[in-house]
Amino acid sequence: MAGEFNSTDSSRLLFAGLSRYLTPETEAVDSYNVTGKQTLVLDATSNGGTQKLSIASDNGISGNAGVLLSDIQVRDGNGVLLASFSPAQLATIPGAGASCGSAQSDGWRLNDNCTLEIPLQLAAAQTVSVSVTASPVNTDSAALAVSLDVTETQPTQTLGALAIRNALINLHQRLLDESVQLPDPELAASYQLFLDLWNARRSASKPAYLANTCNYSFTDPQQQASDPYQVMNAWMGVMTYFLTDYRFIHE
Amino acid sequence: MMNRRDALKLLSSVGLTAFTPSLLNRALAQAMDPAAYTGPLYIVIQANGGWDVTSFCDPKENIAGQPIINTWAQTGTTQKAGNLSYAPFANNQALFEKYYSYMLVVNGVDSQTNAHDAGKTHNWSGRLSAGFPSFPALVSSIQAPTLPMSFLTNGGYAETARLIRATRVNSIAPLNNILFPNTPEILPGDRFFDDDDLDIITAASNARLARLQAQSALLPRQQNNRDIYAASLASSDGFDAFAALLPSDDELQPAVDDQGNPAPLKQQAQLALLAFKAGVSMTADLTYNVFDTHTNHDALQSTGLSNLADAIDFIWDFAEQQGIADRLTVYVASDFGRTPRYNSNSGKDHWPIGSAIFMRKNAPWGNRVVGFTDAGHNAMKTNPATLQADDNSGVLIHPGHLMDALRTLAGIDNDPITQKFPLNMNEQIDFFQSG
Repeated sequence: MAGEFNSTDSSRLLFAGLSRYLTPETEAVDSYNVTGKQTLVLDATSNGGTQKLSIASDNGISGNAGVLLSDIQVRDGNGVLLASFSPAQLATIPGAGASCGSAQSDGWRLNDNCTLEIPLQLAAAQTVSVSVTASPVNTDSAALAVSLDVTETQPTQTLGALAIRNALINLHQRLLDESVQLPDPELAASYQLFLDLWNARRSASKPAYLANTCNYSFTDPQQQASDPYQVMNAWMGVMTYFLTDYRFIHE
Repeated sequence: MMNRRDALKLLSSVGLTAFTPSLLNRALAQAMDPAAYTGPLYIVIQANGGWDVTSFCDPKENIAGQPIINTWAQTGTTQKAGNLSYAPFANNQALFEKYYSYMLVVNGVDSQTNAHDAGKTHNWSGRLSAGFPSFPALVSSIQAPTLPMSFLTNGGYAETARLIRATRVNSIAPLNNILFPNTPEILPGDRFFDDDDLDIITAASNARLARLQAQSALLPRQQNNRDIYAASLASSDGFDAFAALLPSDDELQPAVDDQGNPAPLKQQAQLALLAFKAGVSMTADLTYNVFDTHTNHDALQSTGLSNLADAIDFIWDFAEQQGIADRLTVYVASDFGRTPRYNSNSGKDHWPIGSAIFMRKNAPWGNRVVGFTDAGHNAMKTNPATLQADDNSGVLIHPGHLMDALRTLAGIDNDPITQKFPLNMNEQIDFFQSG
């Protein structure tokens, strides 16, 4: 699993089009390599309603590096400012929070393998631009992911949900020789399994990395085993479901 | 279209095959209380190659003026332990002196062949023709068909006639991978999934299997296979108990003797008896392939018979330790016997006449010899009623007679499954009769 998710998309065998940041909630996502103080921009098409901004520091699983987030802004397609947040005042933003890190005078220090979420209310479906001003801490370059997410527990129509279901369709075909499309109950079942594993691990605040890292051939175990959104862990469970299936074993 | 083999290769290349297909078994096993099997247990020891029973349980001394039958008879004489005779050879004395009361020795068994495969087929199924189940497979399929590893084999004659699955268990490492699929091989004690994740996966998998079983328009074979798969998952009770009993590397019996010769029986027996103890198995074949001594006969048979005797001793001692000796029956035989003379290479060649030994603690038929051979190790006829030598009304004993009697002893002779595999013997010989 780690090998796949740490390969370039074109060289993947089963999980092309996915990333460890792509969750069922994801409306839009991008990842960045922060090498100095810079403003990162994520352009997204939102369906409107209750959304959230998610930011993950993904520089490793136990290092002392991180990213300092100093400013977050959301603008519409015409450049009109819709929302502005000061991460240094994260505790004062209703509904916002971080899995770890700390407030600094000039921003929020998001430690390695930490995630931050800020609720966002958008009036209608529209194109938005999210800009995040960030700089690396205790490192020359830091990996960061920014996404715009829905807040449903059972999302089915997001960019992430569609990509995950497409991956499942491929797995059903290649591993079980089953051609499935919605509303096939088998596709619904395997997608529900992904959701259940993913939601359960998030709710329980399970370790945000792959266990048994020394069991795999990582070139950089600290970074490659990082799983800030529990995506790879959920896929591991789904793959076990497929690999223990009667049709895979016997047919 | 990618097939399963391609998929396995592919998955291996991305490091996904660490999860064995039996993960689900383990999850189910953890969810169920083991319902340990407490019925009779059987071990069959296949002394493959053709053992020399004239140096073992049917001792033959030399005949003046005739070619030498046994070198040991030049200086030694036939020994007795209870009613049993044995040759002063190898570790026979220790074996027979300690276990004669457990033993029923049947001599003069005519395998009707000098070919190894035919001899094995005849001795272990009771028929010379192919396709009949071995006794362990047959009795397991009738009396303990739902145990997860009811019939264990170590690679000998293990024809199941599709009555039951044969489980080959002769090495700890792959066994650990089966019993502990959620544990990384190089990180004992660690786990791939915690209980929460495993519960979610298991629930989804169970639901999926139920849907597969409920599918309509399946061919009977497909339906049967899916039902068997579901049954195998549901019968995983006791795996935890077996896993807990598995010996460490230090505790595992060696697979070689003190001189470095192959001696796998004790290790095979250890795993089988622990599986019995855990309630996951009922029968086991043990195999020892060292008895085809066309050259250097005395040394090789001595080593083989010594290791065989050691293994039998281990079986009973270990069964006592595990508290299962009272439930155990052991059956020892070979393809056939060896010529009552040496060839030019100090070896002995194939001879259709052999012996069989049945063992049970406190058996009413213990300390008994049935069947006869003459001084030149030719089979003599036995009266089926009196079990005495009888040239007029007697019959030659064939493996089918032994298998027939063993089926009766096990109480499966009238079972419909047994009836599908008739041995067609003209007469029954009640080797196990009381008194």
